[in-house]
Amino acid sequence: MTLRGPGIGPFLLSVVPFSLAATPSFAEGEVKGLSTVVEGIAKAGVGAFALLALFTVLIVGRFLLKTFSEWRRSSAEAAAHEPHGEKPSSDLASTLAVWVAGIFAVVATLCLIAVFFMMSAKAEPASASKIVVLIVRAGVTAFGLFLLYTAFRSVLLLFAPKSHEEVHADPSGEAALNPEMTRRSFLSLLGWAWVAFTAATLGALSTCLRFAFPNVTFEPPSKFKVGLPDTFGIGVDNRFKDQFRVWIVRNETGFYALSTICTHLGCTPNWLSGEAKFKCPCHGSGFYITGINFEGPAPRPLERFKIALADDGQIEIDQSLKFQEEKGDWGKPGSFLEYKA
Amino acid sequence: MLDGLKKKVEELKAKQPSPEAVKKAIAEGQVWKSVFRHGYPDTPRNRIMAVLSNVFLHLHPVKARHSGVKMSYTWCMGGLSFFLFLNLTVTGVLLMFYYRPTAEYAFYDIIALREHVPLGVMRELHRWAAHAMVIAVWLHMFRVFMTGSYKPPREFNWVIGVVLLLLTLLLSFTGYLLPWDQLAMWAITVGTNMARATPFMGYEGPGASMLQIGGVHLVHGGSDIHFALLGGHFVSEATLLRFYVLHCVFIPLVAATLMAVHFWRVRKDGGISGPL
Repeated sequence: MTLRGPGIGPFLLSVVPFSLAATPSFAEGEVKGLSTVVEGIAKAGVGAFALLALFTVLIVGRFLLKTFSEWRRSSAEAAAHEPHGEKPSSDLASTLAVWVAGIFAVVATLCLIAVFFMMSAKAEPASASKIVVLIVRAGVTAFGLFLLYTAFRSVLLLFAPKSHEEVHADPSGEAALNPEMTRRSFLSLLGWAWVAFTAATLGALSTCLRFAFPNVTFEPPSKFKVGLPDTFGIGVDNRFKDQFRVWIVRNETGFYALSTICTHLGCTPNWLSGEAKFKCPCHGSGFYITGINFEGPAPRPLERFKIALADDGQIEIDQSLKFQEEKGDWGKPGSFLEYKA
Repeated sequence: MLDGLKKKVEELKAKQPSPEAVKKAIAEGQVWKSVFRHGYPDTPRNRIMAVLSNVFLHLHPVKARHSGVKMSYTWCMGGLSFFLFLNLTVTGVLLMFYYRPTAEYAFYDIIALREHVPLGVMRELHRWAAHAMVIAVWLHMFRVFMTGSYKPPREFNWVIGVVLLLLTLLLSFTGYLLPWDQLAMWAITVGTNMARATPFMGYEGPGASMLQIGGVHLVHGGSDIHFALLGGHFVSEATLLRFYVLHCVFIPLVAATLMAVHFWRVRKDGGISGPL
């Protein structure tokens, strides 16, 4: 068997499609934040892990091949001693090599399909853009499969046992393995294996990190309706403090929504109607009814949320939009709802 | 008849093995050898073997310097810290039998631990040992600093010690939330707000606004280190469970591992430092 493969290069190159498939697709609007980045690293790590598993299978396969070729050589020697002994009709080692290659290919395919499904399985309705992304991912995965196949073939050939004639030429068994497997190339292979192992470990750690970011929180929605404007009297409304952490304040000209989070260290102040101020129980910060700080350690006024009238006439608060007085936001539209009875 | 009895007693006395022979028979028997792998520790070699072949003792030096066991020099603060850690582990595991880390039950389970559970003092033991451990660890660090024991060859062990101090404080911090009362809620709220200012990883921290792709911010209130720590935007039931697991499993495991390294390094770096 004098075939030679292209070496370990393509095998390692197959990391690229994994990483590509793992890259978050920004066009989909999937970018959620830090968690998406961590997820990308984790997925690349999963790919590296699949590679590592396959690499282990290869090493085991090499060991099996070596054992088999030794057994075959000894049986061939035994046959040589018998003058009328029948020669093996087919090259058993080559047959076995083909079988092992086939098994590798199946395992690799299964691994890739698993990784592919991990990446694309999302319980979301299909849309044109998503289908395009799926096709691209399938293409990338197929490319990875092709590279992996090339890599397996080459590595297998690198480790393949010698032919019947070559074994006979070397009965001592010194060169039972491919002479290309020198100490240097073995150590180099070991180095790459170590790189794959490190990548897999980092990926696994990233998976743990990604696990810390929940996809769903059981918190109240950030956008909600609080009722018709006429149901509010002049002054501070405490009803939405517990659930939504917001005060709805009405004055003669309209409404504004104040955050109940103290700007000092995040405690919740209380509305003291007798003293007409918000007072924080933690460190004594005080705020006027407008939200402006006037006593205690709070460094800046309370924040306001976006407030507007919804289509059905109710007041709607959007807590994802904040207005900070020190940034001059309180003059901007949305920070104040003009309303006269 | 009396003579006969006397004779019998003499005979029995002659048959009785000497204490040395008993000792030898035990120390060279299969049971003793299978457990201890060395002879009775009455020779210098066997005494050393007694320490080296025991997983618990091998962390300790074979021989200790006289100054190393002087209370006025060491204050025994390292030893006390470890004793308190063991104490906290035992009482903590016992508390886990009764405490449920959910918003519905947590506070009432803490009350029940005092009112209904046998030996209602168990939670107090855990609490006071926790306070004592924080103090002991600080004093241990103070002693090590004042005696210059952080100097070569003990620099690395000082670093491990600093990490252990941090872990002790984190254990204290995560445990603070578990009673689930107003004090716990707001202390953890205020404490974890610091995470929002982590450079690059907290959404209010320096550099966070630089991390964006195509105008989309990567680090924001719904996806930063504060969010990951709390499991949400603010201290909630998710945070309670998270801190419970950190407090009972994660941090103790890391701390125990580092403690093993810490003790082993004390021995490898030449034992407890002596007065200069």
